[in-house]
Amino acid sequence: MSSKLPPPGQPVLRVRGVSHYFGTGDTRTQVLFDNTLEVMPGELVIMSGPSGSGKTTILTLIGGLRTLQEGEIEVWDADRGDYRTLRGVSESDLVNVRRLIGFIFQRHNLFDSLTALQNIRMAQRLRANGPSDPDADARALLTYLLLGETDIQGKPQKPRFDYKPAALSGGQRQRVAIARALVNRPKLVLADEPTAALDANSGLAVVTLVQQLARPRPEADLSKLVRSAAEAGENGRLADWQIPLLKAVANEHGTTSLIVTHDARIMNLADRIVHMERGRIESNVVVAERLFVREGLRQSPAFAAILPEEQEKIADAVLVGVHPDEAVRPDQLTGKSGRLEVYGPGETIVREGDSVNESSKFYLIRRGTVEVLRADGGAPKKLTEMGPGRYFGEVALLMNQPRNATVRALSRVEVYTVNRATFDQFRDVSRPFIDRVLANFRAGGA
Amino acid sequence: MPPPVPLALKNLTHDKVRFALFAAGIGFAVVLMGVQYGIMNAMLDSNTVLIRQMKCELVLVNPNRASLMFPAGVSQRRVEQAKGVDGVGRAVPVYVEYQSAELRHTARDPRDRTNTRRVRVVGIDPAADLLDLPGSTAADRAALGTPGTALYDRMSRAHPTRPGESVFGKLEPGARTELAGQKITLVGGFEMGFDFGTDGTLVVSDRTFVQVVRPASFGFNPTAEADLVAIQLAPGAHRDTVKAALAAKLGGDVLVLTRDELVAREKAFWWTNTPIGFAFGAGVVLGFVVGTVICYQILASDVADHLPEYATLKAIGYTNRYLSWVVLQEALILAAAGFVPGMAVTYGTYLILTELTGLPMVLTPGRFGLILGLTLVMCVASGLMAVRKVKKVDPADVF
Repeated sequence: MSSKLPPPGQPVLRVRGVSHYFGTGDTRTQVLFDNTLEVMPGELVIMSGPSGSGKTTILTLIGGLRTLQEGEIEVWDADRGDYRTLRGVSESDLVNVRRLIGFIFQRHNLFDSLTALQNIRMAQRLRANGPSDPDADARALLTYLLLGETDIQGKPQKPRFDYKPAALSGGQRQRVAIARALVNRPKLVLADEPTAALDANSGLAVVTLVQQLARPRPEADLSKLVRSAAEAGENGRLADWQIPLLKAVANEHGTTSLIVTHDARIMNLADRIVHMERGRIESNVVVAERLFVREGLRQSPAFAAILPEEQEKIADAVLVGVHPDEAVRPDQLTGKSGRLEVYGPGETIVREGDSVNESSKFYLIRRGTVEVLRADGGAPKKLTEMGPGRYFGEVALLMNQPRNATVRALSRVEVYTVNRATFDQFRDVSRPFIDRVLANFRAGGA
Repeated sequence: MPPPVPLALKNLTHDKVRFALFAAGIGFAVVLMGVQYGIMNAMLDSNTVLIRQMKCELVLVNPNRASLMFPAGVSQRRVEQAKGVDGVGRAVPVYVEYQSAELRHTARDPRDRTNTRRVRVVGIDPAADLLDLPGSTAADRAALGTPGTALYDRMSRAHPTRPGESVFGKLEPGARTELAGQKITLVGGFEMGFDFGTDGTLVVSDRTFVQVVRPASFGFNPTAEADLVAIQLAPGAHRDTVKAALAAKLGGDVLVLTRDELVAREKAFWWTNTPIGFAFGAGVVLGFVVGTVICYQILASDVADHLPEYATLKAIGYTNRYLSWVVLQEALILAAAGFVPGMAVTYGTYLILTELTGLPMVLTPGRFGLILGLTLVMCVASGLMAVRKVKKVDPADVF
């Protein structure tokens, strides 16, 4: 199958200004408020938030299960190599969008009258050019999910391929439903509490499969999951025979998953965490970006004066929701002013001798390389070059001395910025606590 | 692509007991329709047996004779005129008496004697060999040449209390008895059956008919008018051409009909002038309605029971068209599952009723086809109603 990923830097899913209402007339209630979200290929996105916050509604809109009322949703169609819009389209177009997606529901919704394989076949029938032996593919998937001839201990067991749902346990039914959702190797998976009914080992198998469909993991990572029951505890484990099968069934990559879950095992694997409150996306955090910024701030001595949790708040306040490996597009910065600045090669970011005031900034390099120059008897002398993760300009946060060096972009450079007003606000929160620690320390020392 | 999943069949047959009940429900409707329709046909058929057993292509009948039962004849002159028309081979007068023919069994044993009772008497020239009389031998028919003899109907209405006897008493070859007050000898039997107008039939020669049933009296010539005139075509003659020629020649006081047209006319009379059509037609309609309701209930509850599953199918990309087709397939499976046993029971009922009542309940291919058609329409109609339910299934309900 010729499935294409979107052009570099472009998302697989684009949600823009989406609002939604339930009911009509006097009972018309707005449940979603102007939500915007982009999800990049291969991301594992966790949707969190209290019940009633609109997670499921937004999932049903993305999946084409409801008619879009306001805003725009576009889903990448890997076979066509183009986006399919969900705004104002006919029912048959919505059906085409649904076929691009693997749905995993909280309830398994399998047909009682059909066997496990037949239930999966219902999904396979929708794929025009699937594998040459679809039944073998379905069996492999079920076997990986511990419903085949071998159990987790490697002992033979009765395969459940031809069992009807009534003869399966709740967890087994859920795994059949998951196999049905993933058998066509969809490029977008929408899931609602997929692991809620699963035991630790099955849950891990599912999560690992979803991850592997997103992007292949190093062998070492996978082999770490093959461990003893005692070692695994509640986190579950894989059997060694599952690893080659996993690689065989996850034969396509770039799958993006949007998962509504409270399962910490999945939360820990998230690439992006979208938190919703009262119908709004309150935060949209790329986990790698958050770690990158937190680590960057932590390195700077200036931030030692701020409590770790306040540091994290500063970090979260500058995030732009784009993985640090990806260049930021200008449209991704709308509504996020003061968080990130982009400089072209040769542009000066700070100039030596410039005066420093309340609005002067601290910079953390996100992408690109800068050179640091200082006037040495007239001619500027290059002191050093710095790349991603390095910072400069921290003195401006602490005192009103003029800038002591010039920093110039050598390539296209993206820098996170924190101004003194923001910094002071968090330092003021931290100060009483830090003063008390210092007082104790001095008292103890005396 | 994997082979198709027979979802409709699996959904219906998943619970075998339930499916058997479903099939029984539809089968019940089929039996109701089949038996009511069968009785209706039997009643109409029974009134036309005599006409259908006439070996002729065309029949002349008085237009005022709305049914065979009523007296109105075709003049002998017209018979002679008809004989002169091109393409007419033979024109055979048929005499039928309903009113004045009474049979009384005058058995030697007083216990076997009966009171007088009206019987239908058909008088035909035995040499014309016009009637197809199943169950009779050529010798029997030849014996009619002797005046004062008659063939009797073995399927005359049965005596209500004496098994093996007809309401006319013990009819058997050689029995000497009394018809319209005159001695008559039964020389053989045939099978025809009774109907609304008669309890049984005697076939006699035209001579015997004139002697016994319609004796000539002053000013009355019994053969001046025939009740029906059977027209047999000359070899190579075309039926419709001859029919048109006869109609042109004979004028308005004679109706020229094909034998099937006369059968239809007779049936139409009974259909419109008696409650048969309404009573049994209503039975068929009732069966149809009951079947539709049962079938709709089954299909609608299947959709309701599988709502999350159907919603899931929609969510993963199945169209309304596919789901509608599943429901219609279920309707067709129910039709088949109900029709086969239902029709078997219906046929069995026909045999039993024929045996018990003597009504000629016959399952022709056309009638079989009509019941099959009604069953299909019944199930497809309820299927189409249930389709609306499955179309309304909201895929967003799965979350």
